[in-house]
Amino acid sequence: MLIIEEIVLGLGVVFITIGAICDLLASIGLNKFPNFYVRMHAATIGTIGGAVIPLIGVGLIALISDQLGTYKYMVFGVSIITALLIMIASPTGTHILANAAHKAKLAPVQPKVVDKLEEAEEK
Amino acid sequence: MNRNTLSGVIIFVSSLILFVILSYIAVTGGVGKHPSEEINSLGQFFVNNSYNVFNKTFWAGSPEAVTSILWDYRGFDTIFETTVLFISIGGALVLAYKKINWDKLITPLSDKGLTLIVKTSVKIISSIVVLLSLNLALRGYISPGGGFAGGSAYSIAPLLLISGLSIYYITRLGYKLHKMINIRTIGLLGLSIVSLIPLIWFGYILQNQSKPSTVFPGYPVYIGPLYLGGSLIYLNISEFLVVSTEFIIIFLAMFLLLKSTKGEAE
Repeated sequence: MLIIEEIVLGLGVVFITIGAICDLLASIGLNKFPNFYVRMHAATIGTIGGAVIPLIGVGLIALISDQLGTYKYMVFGVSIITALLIMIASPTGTHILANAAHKAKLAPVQPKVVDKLEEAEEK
Repeated sequence: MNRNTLSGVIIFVSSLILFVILSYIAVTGGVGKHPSEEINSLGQFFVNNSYNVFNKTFWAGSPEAVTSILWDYRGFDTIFETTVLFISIGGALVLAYKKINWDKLITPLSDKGLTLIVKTSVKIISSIVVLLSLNLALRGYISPGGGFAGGSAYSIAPLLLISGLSIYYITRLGYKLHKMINIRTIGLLGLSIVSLIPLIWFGYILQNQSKPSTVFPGYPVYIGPLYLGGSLIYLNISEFLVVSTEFIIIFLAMFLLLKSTKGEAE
């Protein structure tokens, strides 16, 4: 029983650490990347890697924290549901933003390696 | 050292200092004391005079503090916020009615909506929004929320569906203008009936629980194990119906107005 709790605690801490690293990388990318679309990719790393994964970690840690009483199940459920919601909503938001910017030609794809959407529209 | 690097260094150093100070405050317990388990004298006063199960002369029938303190004024709050919304939505519709082509709701046109990814996630999220708004409305007397909050949250679901899919999709789901108006009328009727029922026993308008000066026995607080909070649940449900349908009507009108003015410009 104790070993399982140790494993769950370790997993939670690892998840939160991954989140911190992802947030750092996302903020560096947000400042350094050359154009709108790649910067948006960095922002999504910040929301998925930096919010969803640490939330799951927080839920796991709450699950073994006996000092919370019965509230630990509430904290676990709330953090998992919030993680799921962010996982659904955030990529949709960035997808529709990038789609709109590309359709309205507001953000030039420059420097460009490949632009499949443009190729598909030309056909 | 040029200007950009200098400002970068300044921003970095100041945010580092802010980070260190905030973490120091948070670690040393600067955010405040933890609330104690004991009830202080003010709390005892409110509990004694609002949710006193043993002496029901002055009890409000609701364990939620705000509702208990407001007692019957919770009903006044509901009635007047519904009135304000009713008048403002009516005024907005009167101003815009002739410009709106309501027939466009019925004729199915090819409106593609956004991409498949958006459509799928909008459907998932709007169903979650509906559940959340029902929770807000039906548990409004023991938790923060109530009819107005629940109704305005519910109206977000059709708004998301309109912008994600199309206005024809939600008409096919059954959000039609006349149906909305009928449901709103049912809600308004419910509000007036619930507020006038105590008059039969020579009570006050909007009275919830019994008072020493009246014969009115008060609305039932419990039905079996189910907690109702007197008249609050009926007021909450009626106000939920009124507010949600009024917001949906104004959203439909807004989108139809947007479409018709766009057509004129072309």
